[in-house]
Amino acid sequence: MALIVPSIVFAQHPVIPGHERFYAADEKPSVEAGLLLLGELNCVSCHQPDESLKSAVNVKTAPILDSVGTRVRSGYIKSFLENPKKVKPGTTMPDVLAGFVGEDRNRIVEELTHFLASTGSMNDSTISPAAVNKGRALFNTVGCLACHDPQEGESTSISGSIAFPVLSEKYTLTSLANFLKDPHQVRPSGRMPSLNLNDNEARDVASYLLRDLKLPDNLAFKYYEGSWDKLPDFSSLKPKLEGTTSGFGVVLGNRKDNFGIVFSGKVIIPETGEYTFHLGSDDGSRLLIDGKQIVIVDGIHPHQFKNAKAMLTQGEHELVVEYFEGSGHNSLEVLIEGQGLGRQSISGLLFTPKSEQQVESNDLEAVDAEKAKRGKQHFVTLGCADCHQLKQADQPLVSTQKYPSLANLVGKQGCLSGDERQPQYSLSRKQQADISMAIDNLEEVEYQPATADSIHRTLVTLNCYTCHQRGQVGGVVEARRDFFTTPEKEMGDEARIPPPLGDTGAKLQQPWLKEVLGNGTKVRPYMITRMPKFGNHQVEHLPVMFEEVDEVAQISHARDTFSEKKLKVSGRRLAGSKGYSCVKCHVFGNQKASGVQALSMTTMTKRLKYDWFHQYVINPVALRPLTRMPTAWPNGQVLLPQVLDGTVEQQVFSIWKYLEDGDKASAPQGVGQNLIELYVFDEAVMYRNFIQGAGPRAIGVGYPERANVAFDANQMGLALLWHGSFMDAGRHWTGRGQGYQPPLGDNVLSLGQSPTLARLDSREAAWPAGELKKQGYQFLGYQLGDKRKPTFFYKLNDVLVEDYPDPESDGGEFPALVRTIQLTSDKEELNLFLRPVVAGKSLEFDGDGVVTIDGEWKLIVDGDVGEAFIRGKELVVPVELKKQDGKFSGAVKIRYEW
Amino acid sequence: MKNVRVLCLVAALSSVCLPLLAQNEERLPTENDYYPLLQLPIPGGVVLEASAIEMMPNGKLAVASRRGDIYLVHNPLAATAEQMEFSLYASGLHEILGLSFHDGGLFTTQRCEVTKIVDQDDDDTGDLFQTVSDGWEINGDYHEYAFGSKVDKEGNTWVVLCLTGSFSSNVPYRGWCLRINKDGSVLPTCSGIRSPGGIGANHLGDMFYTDNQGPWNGTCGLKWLRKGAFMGHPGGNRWFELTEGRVAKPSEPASGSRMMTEYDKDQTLEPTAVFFPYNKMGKSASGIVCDTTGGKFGVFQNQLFVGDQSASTVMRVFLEKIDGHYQGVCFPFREGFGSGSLSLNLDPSGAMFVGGTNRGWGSRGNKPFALERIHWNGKVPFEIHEMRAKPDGFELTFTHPVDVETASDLDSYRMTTYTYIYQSSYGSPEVDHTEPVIRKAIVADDGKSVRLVIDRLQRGHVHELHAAGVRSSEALPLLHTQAYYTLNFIPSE
Repeated sequence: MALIVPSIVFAQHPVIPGHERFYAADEKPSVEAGLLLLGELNCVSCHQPDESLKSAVNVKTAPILDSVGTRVRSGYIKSFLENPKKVKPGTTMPDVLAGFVGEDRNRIVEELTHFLASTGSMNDSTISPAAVNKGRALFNTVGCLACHDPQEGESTSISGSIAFPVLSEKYTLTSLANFLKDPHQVRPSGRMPSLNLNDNEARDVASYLLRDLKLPDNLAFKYYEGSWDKLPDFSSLKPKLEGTTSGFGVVLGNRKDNFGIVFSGKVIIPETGEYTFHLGSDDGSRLLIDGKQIVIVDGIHPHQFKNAKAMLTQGEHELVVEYFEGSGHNSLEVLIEGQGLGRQSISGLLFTPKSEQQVESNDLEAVDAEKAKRGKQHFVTLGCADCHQLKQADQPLVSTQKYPSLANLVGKQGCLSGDERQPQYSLSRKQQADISMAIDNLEEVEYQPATADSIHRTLVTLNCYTCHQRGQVGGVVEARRDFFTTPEKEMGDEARIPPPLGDTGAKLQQPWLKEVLGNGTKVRPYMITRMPKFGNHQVEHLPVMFEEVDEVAQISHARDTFSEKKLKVSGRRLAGSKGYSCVKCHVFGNQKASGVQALSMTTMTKRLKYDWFHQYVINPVALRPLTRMPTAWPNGQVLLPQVLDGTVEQQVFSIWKYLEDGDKASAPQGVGQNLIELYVFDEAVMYRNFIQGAGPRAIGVGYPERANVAFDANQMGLALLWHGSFMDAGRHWTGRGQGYQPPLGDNVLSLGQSPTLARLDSREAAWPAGELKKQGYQFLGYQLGDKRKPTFFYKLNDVLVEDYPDPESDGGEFPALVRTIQLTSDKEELNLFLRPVVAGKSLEFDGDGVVTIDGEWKLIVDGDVGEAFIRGKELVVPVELKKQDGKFSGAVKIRYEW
Repeated sequence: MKNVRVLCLVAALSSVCLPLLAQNEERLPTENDYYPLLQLPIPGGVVLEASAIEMMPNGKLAVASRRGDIYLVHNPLAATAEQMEFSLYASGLHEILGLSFHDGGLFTTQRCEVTKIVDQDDDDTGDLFQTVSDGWEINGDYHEYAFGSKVDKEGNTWVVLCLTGSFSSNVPYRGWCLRINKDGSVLPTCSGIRSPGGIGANHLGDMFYTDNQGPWNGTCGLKWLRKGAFMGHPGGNRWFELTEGRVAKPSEPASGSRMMTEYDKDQTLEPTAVFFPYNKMGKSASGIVCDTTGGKFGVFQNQLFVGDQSASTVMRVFLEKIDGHYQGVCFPFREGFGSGSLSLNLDPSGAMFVGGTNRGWGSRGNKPFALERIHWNGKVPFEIHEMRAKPDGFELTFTHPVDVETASDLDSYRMTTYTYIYQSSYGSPEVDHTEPVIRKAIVADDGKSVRLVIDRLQRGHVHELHAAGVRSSEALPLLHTQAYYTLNFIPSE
């Protein structure tokens, strides 16, 4: 085992990133810096500030020590209390016991340790090398290095970095993983933010940070050398090496390639029941329990998992894992899951032989109740309880110490006096000066500073500046720039360096800003570094403040030059590959872009403010000097002058209006990898397939007039009308063709999936639904006529229906559609009704047979009909058949203007 | 680029290398020496994933595609591809898997229905699309395919309906065979279907389909759609109620059993007539045609030809009826099709058309789609012509007289047997292997048949025969030495 001792000289004074960055080098002491320190060093826990000052000091509370014994090793507690600065360089924890020396000091440390250890116990589990590798990748990329130093390789500590103690002396795998997953539980002040690690990620990062953890051997191994392409019969081979090891690390022999290992040991199953075993390896492996093969991942392959279930009884079972490696990467993971065990390494359940249980450790063998009791006394009398919450039986321990209030402190006394009996903070000279400056000038403190200054205070305190620049302040320092990475290298720094905050309040909408600050929501698919969560109480004031101070010019242009319909159609076109090709770089919902994968277009209007969006898309570099985002309107020039009269404002506005539909917006052209557009020229084009909104027996028809319909041959009715492009057959004509495809065009109108014709016993009777064939409906096919336009045939019992949709060719962009419905029967038919539409919201008669639907579009019914009536959202029209040549017939025309 | 190079190589071999070889040692004949392939000239820009084929009464060949188009090939029997032309007959249909001209119209089985397409003005385009029946349901799942047969004597299109996925039947009649009469009536005919790849009748009009390896199908197979029978996969059994008692419901099969064991318990189950051993004969059995050309396609009158999509092959099947059930043998016939062989059509003139696609399922032939014609050039390959079960062995007949010495030598033959697990999980390995003992090989006086007397025939097993040692009287080895006979029933005489 090699203890990892970074070759770094650590600061001996408490390291407060904001102070290091903004104040340490400035020779002049500053009240502002002093205030920062009063909060970060938690001076105000002992020295009570008055109410007005409280708001100016953002307190970093000390770690909560409830049940600390379940989280932190007793050996660590002891050495930390003995010498905080040595064990955790840069710590803000003072040496509170400075006043005690020799035996006295040792006894107090010992008793405090027993007390803290008495709050719980912990269990070790071994570290999997595969998890270490994954954890290394996470630690180095997700944002840990914004505040911490790299843990491997030669480097000097970066100014402002928070140093670690030797973490394997402090934590177990589980306790560190729990801390990383939700640091605010024990450190509620958010200085250590949450990076939204999930259970597995937290475990992986913890594994990496504890990679030097040495645990007792719990497996016997035999190491073989040879070249195989699948698992050999190890029993017929002679091992090169035999021994014992801890966990399933595969680096045991000399070789990195062409070797095999057989691990054997005993697994202790906690409870009888079914367990799932996940075996993952590069290359092959298999797992046997009690001599029976449970799961095998044989052959040469990258790290690959297989799993299998097995019933196991409570108690000891023989476990054997065979593994071989050809060449390249090597890895092995053996996981267990079930009976209340989350998916985890099986190492934790391995039996450790008695002889192996001796591993160096400073941890207490057992808690001494007497010492613990005295330790508890120290905890309340020596001031620990002033800073640290420690609840017992739900009651926090209360300190018996009394201190002068902050207002009564004077310049360089007490903790600042240099008196060795006082708590030792080991402050730097500058830190001392700043604190003195602050307490001597409390009356000068601006309790309610300007909003911009308040924002600055928060960004300093939470160290936001380590990633973000606001105006000319902060931003990633040179030494950390390489820690920020992206898979989209083509996008340059914009893709890896977190966004600047200079115009945040002008750019982002309040609810979105709250979302990002509160939950660390990730929207940039190209940025690996994550926005952390600091806890709502730390950041909830920011959105309003940003909005108050950040400004961008207001945009005013006419918003009613074009109809909303026209704007959306145009916006979609402009965003697509036949417009300004936004889709080349921007993701659309979960559909990838063809070039780099920039922010999704579907969330833009939810995130951004229109004024900012407008100015940004016209001249991106004016707001983001380094952006790779091109403008569609270079120097105000309109490249697509035929769209919306060629005005820049209206074109930008149309894209915004289109994107306002968010997830519901139809994707623009060029989204998705397999566009197979069905073009319509001078004859109608048909497409029978699964069409979204028209069922599995849909019949799409694209007309030369640039209007389209989808007839639902299951429901015997027109289900959809739309304008523009007809269909994208890519989904159904690529691969196996699973699922439903929506129309490709614009202005999609859903008429509802239901029969157009019905026989009703009364005007109130329910419209037919369910199994229509049983109710006498039958689809009969279609006849192609002029321009190969279809007339659909279907029947309801004896009534034959000929249904002919035909768009009007007025040459416009949104042609109306006239649907001629011819009904014929041998018998006299009563009680026949048509239902041309079921409205989404509303129906209104406008006179002359015109009906306005949802306040947005119109419908006119004409022909052999009685008086139409509205019931709820249904428009119902009685049909009157007339006797002619021994038959009963009638014709109805429905005109749709949408 | 790769294809071009291969073609050049073939050309070089035939023109230059062959005579040289011939001088030194006899070149062994290949399939191409008897049944050459011709690529039909699909026009550039047309994607013709040829999924159903039918000869029209006007001599044009209708070829449907998975994309829903139907093209006509003009002059499809011409000697060269240059003389052929393509025109569009219909489009916009839904994954067509059956074409049959009948009663003045083209009966087209598409995913959603059987449609009769009529060209009313004789301009080679369909005008009237009459729904004959849509008596089954679909629900947006790609797996819910419908394969339609040629129209039978009673005017029925037999439609076999894929399950919803491998295991389940989410909407009515998935996993069933329906007979759709031209009058629109629907007759539920068989249950137990999993995932068909093709459907076709033999010379007597008995209907067969291929089903693919998966649950309850240890390997791909050819199955007889005996009216009222259960074809083996219980996934669609929930729809028996809809038949109103017209089809008897089988008992639930026991998973992990063998097919003949389950047949012995309930004879509603129709045992697979011919297993196509997995890998050995492909992985995805497809279209079926019967040779009723009266000798225009060679010497295999009344035998069936069955495609395999994954191996890009056409296999040959000889069937006989034992104890009232069809069973028989499959042989390799022709390989090397451009894409995954899916649809087959055999014209009375003796031209076999094979359509292919590999979209969604890979194939050995690496083109995304293909349409090819095989014709017989009049030379008869040396093949096992028929293989018939006998109470104590098999009788083999050959297409040419055999060399008596090799054909009576027991070492010329090798036989193993095995079967498949009949189970609810996916596929099966070959199991229950045996090595029967070939006691005698008796050559008939005319030299055209050999009687193999065998100890320990295994009921329910595939009997895999390799006759590598047999030579024809002209000293040729068999063009294909292997045969796989599915011995469900051992004849009593």
